[in-house]
Amino acid sequence: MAFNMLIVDDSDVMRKVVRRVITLSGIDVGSVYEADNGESALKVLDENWVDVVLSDINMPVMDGVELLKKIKSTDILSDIPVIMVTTEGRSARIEELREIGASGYITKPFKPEDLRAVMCEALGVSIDEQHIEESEDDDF
Amino acid sequence: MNNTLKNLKTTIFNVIEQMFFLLPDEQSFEELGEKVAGPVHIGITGDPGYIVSLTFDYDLAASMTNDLLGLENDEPDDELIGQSLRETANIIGGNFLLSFAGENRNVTLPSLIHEDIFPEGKVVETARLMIAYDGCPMEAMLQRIEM
Repeated sequence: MAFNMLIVDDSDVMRKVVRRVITLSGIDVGSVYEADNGESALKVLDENWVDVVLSDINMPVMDGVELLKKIKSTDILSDIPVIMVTTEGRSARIEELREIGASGYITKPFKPEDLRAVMCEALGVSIDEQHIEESEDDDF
Repeated sequence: MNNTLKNLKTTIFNVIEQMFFLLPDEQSFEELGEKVAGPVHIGITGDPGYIVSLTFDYDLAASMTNDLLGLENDEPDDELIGQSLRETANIIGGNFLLSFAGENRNVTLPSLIHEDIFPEGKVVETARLMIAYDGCPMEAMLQRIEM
């Protein structure tokens, strides 16, 4: 099954990096949508079927925490797993995001296999180990 | 400030190693070369706050950008280099924040404009680190800011 994904980050470079790492992770990817803040992410979600959202926290206009709250409080969106991809690795912050409804949390820099593990847990799937490409040089 | 600077140095070493598989050279430089990328600035909120400013040798910045985006021997343009440096600063800032355990602080958005970070803040102390990777220098400046 191919998963449609939405990457939310105000950094064009970071969106490219996450997209690249997802490709390397071995996850079967369908459509990959991008948004540069929470507000534009909600527009994407309004118009497209998305299986999982990967969102930065620290963004202008609408940050990732606000986006997470909006998704979890909207009936039609609330079942979509949201994974927070961010630099803030404090345990209190992670717990706070879990309480709001984040399905997973990954701290930058990360490796493709780290992202894969978090995404598989959030999506409730397991992926054949053979799908993982050797990625020693692709730590991020 | 000495401990804070030490923590920043450790953070930079760790993040650059994890992101780019680069280890610092044993010998560093006194000054940056003529062609540089940056500085890119990021703030740690609180009182005092801190601003971390990173300036990279241009070739080092281009190499890091290529590595980050999986480009091979391309010459990334200045916009792309600026974006990748902002992201690098963002990650360094987020990881540096961990060294302020127990304090109610956050990171600001990274910016190429110093005044964007804390417009009302006053610089009260400045410290500087010179680090080199693959024979190319980078400078990290740490400023303590009174709000």
